Amino acid sequence: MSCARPDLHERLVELVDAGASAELRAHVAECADCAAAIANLRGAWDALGAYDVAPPSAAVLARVKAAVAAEPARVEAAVAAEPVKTGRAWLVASALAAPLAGAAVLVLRGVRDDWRSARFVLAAAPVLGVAWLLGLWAAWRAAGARRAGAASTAFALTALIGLGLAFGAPAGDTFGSAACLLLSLAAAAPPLALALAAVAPTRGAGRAAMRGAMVGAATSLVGLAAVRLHCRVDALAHLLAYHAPIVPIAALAGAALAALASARIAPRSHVR
Amino acid sequence: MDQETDEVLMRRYCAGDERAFEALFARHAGRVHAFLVRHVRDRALADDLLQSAWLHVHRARGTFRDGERFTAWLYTIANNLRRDEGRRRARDQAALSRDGKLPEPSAAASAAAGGIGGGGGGGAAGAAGGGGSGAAGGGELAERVAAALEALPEQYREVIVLHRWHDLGFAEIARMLGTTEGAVKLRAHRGYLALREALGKEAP
Repeated sequence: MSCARPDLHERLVELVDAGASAELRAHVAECADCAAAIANLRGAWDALGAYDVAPPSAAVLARVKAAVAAEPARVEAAVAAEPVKTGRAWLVASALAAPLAGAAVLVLRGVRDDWRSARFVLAAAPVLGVAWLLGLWAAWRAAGARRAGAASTAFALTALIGLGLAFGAPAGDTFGSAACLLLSLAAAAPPLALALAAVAPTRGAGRAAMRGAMVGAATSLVGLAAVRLHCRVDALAHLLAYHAPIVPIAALAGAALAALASARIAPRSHVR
Repeated sequence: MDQETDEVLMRRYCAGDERAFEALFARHAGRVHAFLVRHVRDRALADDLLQSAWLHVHRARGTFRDGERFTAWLYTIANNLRRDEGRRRARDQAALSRDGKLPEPSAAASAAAGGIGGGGGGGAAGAAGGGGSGAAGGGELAERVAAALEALPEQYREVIVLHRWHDLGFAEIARMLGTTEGAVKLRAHRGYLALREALGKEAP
């Protein structure tokens, strides 16, 4: 270990209590600069020891316990009925389900004959895939932490690029069918359901609905990409009528499902 | 029951054992209160937030998972509550500055004034603490430390309070705050340096 390591001075803070590694301790024992730095940090640590706080009064403690004891039984019932909390495992499952669902569309319905020439489509598919993952990431950030704005922006920009590429594909056969919409729905539904299981529980139906809409829009992109690879029609009217609606449909479905899930759970202030 | 870990007590509490709750409360209520006082520097408000925190513990006990550390879970709740309160107060301040009128008093503010909250205990505690830093002793140095801590950016202060007084490791703090361990160490490092600078030669 050497002082040239960019994170060394941040790691020195480990030494103000007992959590440092033997390697770090050994380095500080030999390095005068780091020893001085650690002494500086310990000075602040020791100074904080002067800041004692008087315990709460007995009246306050009694008041808090009385408030807990007075909690209505319905809250306990709500807690008992609360579904098992899900998390990243569901999100991973969703991420795996999405390409599987898209692949199922292509295997069952076939890839368009001229797909090799549809360069825009081929370019759009991976971009939309990335956008879908970014959307889930944004939803996850919104569910578990703050600062979801950057993730949401990245999702929105990537999705727009992917959609632009998809709709910019060269013209081919003309054949229209609502089957495209149904296929899109079929491909988007499994990952949507799994992603909602991961991110739906939250405080407040409004927040849950926004997050559900985000997940819905994100998961719809995989269906959009798969069906675009399958469909032989490049007419703009067909794309707008039978391909694009999956995005608002899935967003609305995600919002409604997430709001319903949110309404079923008790407040959880420790989860954002 | 004194020998049992927090996590064992929590499991018993979830199963309906009220004595387990009593034991957890006895162990941690004072420390959570101190955590809140060090952040909000208002004992009456800390009293009110303490009540909210334990109510949330009670309501959300079904979400406590095996393998989770109770103290990290408890301080996550307390930290979120005091953040929510801080944001709400900031909004009230903004509303005041826009229309020039006093905002509606909040539940917490009313409790701080000795109003709601059940028995006026908050007001009594606030009086006992002097309504300032809430420091129990140490005189001028304690006040200076409290002021220096308050002057820190919030993201530094919350890491330092959890690390210095509440036996939480950097990894646990990172999980609580939804960030990386490296980021937490960086905040702690900068926070301790800023404190050292603010306290100058008075620091040991």
